[in-house]
Amino acid sequence: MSTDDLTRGDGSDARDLIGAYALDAVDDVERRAVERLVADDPEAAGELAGLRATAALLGSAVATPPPLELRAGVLDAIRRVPQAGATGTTARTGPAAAPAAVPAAVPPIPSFAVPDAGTTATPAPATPAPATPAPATAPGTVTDLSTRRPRRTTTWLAIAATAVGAAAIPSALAIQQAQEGRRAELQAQAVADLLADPRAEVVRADVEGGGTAVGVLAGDRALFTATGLDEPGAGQEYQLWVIRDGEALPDAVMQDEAGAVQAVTDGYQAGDALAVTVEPASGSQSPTSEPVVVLAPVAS
Amino acid sequence: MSLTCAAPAPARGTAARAAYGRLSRVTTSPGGVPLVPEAEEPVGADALLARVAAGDEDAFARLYDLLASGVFGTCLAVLRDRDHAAEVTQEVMVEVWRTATRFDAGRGSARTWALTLAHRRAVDRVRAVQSQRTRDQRVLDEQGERPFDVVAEEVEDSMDRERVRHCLEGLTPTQHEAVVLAYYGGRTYREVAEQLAAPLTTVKTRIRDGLLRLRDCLGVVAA
Repeated sequence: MSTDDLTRGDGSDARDLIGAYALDAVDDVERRAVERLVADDPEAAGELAGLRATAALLGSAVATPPPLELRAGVLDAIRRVPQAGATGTTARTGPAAAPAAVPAAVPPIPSFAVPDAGTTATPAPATPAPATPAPATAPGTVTDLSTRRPRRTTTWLAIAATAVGAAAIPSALAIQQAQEGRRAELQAQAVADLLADPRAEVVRADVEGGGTAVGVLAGDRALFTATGLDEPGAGQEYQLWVIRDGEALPDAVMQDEAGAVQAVTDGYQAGDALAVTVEPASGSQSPTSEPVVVLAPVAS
Repeated sequence: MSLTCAAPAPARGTAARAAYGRLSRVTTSPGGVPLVPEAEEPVGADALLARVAAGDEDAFARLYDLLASGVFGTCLAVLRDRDHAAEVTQEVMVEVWRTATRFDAGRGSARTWALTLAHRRAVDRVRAVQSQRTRDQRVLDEQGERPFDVVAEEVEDSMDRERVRHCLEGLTPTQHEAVVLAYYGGRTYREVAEQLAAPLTTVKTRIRDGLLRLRDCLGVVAA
């Protein structure tokens, strides 16, 4: 469409789109561009906050009482909808509930929410540990959320154990998929070495929110690749974790390029699982969101 | 596959109190400049939302009473259909309940959050259900009108309505047109540009400048 060409070609900056963004008058590509901008630029974030509050007043100005019966319907509905990140009954364990009655097609408003794994199906930070800092900050500042998000002690062992989507698949196909996902900079030799390892196992799994992950799990290293991924969100990247004895060991932060990521880790040992979460771009020492995929060895 | 476990019960008791205390502190911290003038009830809605985040259903009922008219009115303005607006209002209010735990009070008031969500969902709905042909026809139907006035006539009076009307009148005609078509019309700035036969960059600028002027007129305190 010619208008698209115009837009892409006019050199416009995401900053020029803040007003249109505040009115939801942008397309998805532009939306993400603005969200990236405000994640990195406190001044832009401040402007957006003000314009958003202004837009909300445009909404308040046309306030209209909803149908009376809606109230009972909503109050009834929420009793069946678990809250994102709600605390489990057992203290400080367990990932929180996935939304039950709300379709997963409803994304959060990113710049309002504490960053999350990018899919609605992925719960927000769950259990506030005793020393948890408040999940909020001064207005107009964009700070590294990883330092003040509730830390969870997710039961990673349980998650790894329930990685039912991961399945051994025929090697030829798996290798093909792995190679599709690998990047130019990845040393072909490393892949060859991995696959030459008699203990190597190739597993694949669907990624929560879209995409496919393929891993080659060998004796002392592992290859992780994924393609078809959603963008991780403003200021966020996919991070790899090695899951060992129920603990998540931080590994590479993987740059998302056109929906593909990859990493080779030497931190892997036979029997470990691999997991990926969405984290602040600087990476995290422990996961701050639920994994979007877990690849566990099937044979062991 | 799903990696998430079954739904645990909502937070109660000490966890709920802890969350409430934590969020309350944030909303009253020295840095916590409200984005909406105090004539509104930002403190009320914000405090209630903090309790909602802790699983308090009674607080949610009160929050519903504070926000539902604004949410429904926003949806109605964009969707022009009470049934659609009611459906989206329910979606939005349930999402407020579900994601209250993620709300970051440092980035805006609870009301702004809810109405932002409402507008986004209404726009998503209108863009999903209406074919381009229908929308073009609607654009034609509305040419020459000032949609805000049409919308406003359908609704009850409110303080916000008068303030917004006053401040909208303070915009240039082209700013007014662009802002109103985009917000109440649920159109992208590209569609606004097509309708007005104006260059894209011009429309982007009109929207932004118009909103900035509105912000100042309405006394919205920028962070």
